Amino acid sequence: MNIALVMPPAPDLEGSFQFLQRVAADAFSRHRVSAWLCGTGKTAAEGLHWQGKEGALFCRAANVQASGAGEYLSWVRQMYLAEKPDLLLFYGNILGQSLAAMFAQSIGSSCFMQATQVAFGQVLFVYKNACSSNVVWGREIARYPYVVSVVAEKAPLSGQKTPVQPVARLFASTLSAPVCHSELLEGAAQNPLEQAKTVFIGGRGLGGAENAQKLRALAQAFGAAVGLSRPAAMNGWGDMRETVGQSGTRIAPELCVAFGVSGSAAFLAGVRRAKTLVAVNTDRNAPIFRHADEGLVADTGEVLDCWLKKCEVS
Amino acid sequence: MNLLVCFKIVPDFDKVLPSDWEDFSLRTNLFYTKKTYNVFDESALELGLSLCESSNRRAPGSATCTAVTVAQELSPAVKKHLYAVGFDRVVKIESIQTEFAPRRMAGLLREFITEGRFDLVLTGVQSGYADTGLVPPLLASMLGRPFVSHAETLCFYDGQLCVVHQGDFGRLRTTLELPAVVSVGNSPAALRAATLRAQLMAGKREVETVFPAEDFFWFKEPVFFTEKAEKDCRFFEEKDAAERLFAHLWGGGSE
Repeated sequence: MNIALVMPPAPDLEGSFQFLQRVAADAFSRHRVSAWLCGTGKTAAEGLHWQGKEGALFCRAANVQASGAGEYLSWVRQMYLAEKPDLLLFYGNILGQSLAAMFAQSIGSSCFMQATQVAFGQVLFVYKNACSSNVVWGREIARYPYVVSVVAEKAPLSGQKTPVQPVARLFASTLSAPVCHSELLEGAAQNPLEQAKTVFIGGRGLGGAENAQKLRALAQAFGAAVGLSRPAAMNGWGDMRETVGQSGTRIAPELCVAFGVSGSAAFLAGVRRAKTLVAVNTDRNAPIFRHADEGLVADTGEVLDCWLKKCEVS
Repeated sequence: MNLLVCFKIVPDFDKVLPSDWEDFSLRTNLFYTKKTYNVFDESALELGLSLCESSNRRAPGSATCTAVTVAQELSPAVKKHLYAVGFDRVVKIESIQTEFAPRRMAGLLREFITEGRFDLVLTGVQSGYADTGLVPPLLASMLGRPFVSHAETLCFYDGQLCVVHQGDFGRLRTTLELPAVVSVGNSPAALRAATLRAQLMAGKREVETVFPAEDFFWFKEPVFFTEKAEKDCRFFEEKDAAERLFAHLWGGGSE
């Protein structure tokens, strides 16, 4: 089977290549895998540091930059017509998800979005979380070509990255004419939640903006990143981009301390890769304790005060 | 301007009994759970309503706002709420099987949108059960319209729609001509509450029901699994538990 890994532009190449490693490591031994990168020539060169089978990666980069999925559609279509892969796996960042859906529609193919696992066995199975991450939905792929977007999730790379001999060819692709005008207001920077070793997360149980401020002060003292559960973010205790969970960032820190988070399945989907999960909650029966390594049944405000005091002392 | 907001009412999955997840299927009856607006759709409904109101303030009668759902039934409480907060029309496209069938869902919406000549279509970025996020881009593709995802705020500026939204490179402001499709992501907008008076008046209004021309399609029953990822949590419960946990995590104490 011919498999194409489609990587639309992303600010963090590391995330894209972790996607490659996670998804394709299994596929390399059985299938012909090619990676389609879209970005500058530099992007392509950097992209070739890849732990994989030498020569298995055919890397092509389009020298383009744009903002909308519609504009990248022609790039993927050109690549598709040249290579005719059976399976297209899209890196599921914001652009990648829209692009996967639009591309599937354009070639009349079926599409499976936000897959958390792709299993290359005798038959191909894809899995994703469903019902707010309370169950996993599995689907057998029987008809090709098939389009899958894989959830953009940061996972630390295991082992050494071995540079392989570049087999890149620059693919001079063109983009569709833009149908809208975009300007960057802010950002471009790495989301601190994605790379942080320690993350402090506040939930509705923080009780108010005052405790949310204390959480930030504590995080600053520890050099930790701050995250929020969706209800806390909706309460206006921080930026919506700080949301952790199925609808926000999926994190993989060494230590994650959740203050006043009940632990809905949708939230837990965002912290399941944390090495150590610590929960502070007044309700001993809160679901989060069933997924935490350490638990403290206490008022979050009191714990924040106590820990801030200890930080000042030390 | 004809504005359409697509919404979905979903069960509160956090209130489902653990035993129901163990052998979950689409036939599992979740009648006992509270039904609520999908979180992203709720933001889309509020943004749509606000946009419509601001248009009508500038030019009275220039904008209408319709809320549409694809479902077998729609509760009277939801209907009453949507009319009471200001939607001109509340429409139900009646269909029996719409979960885990995003292409079908997009197809039914496309039909309605094409007939209704809606200039702007707002949706939530994704919705349960399947949470695929596939319907909005599919719909845009089917309609051949520009598409912006993960919107946070919307406004009209110089006759164009101005969308502030999340992108992979940061927060963007995109201006586009209508017609268009916009999906709403992590927006702080929450659907407003209705006054009692408005609710009483809305009680008399009916949901418009649309029956699709052909309501039969082949559907493969989805297969579900549950992941047992529970841990054996170590509780700190003594009187000085907070201090002991601090010492355990970062040192500097007796733990």
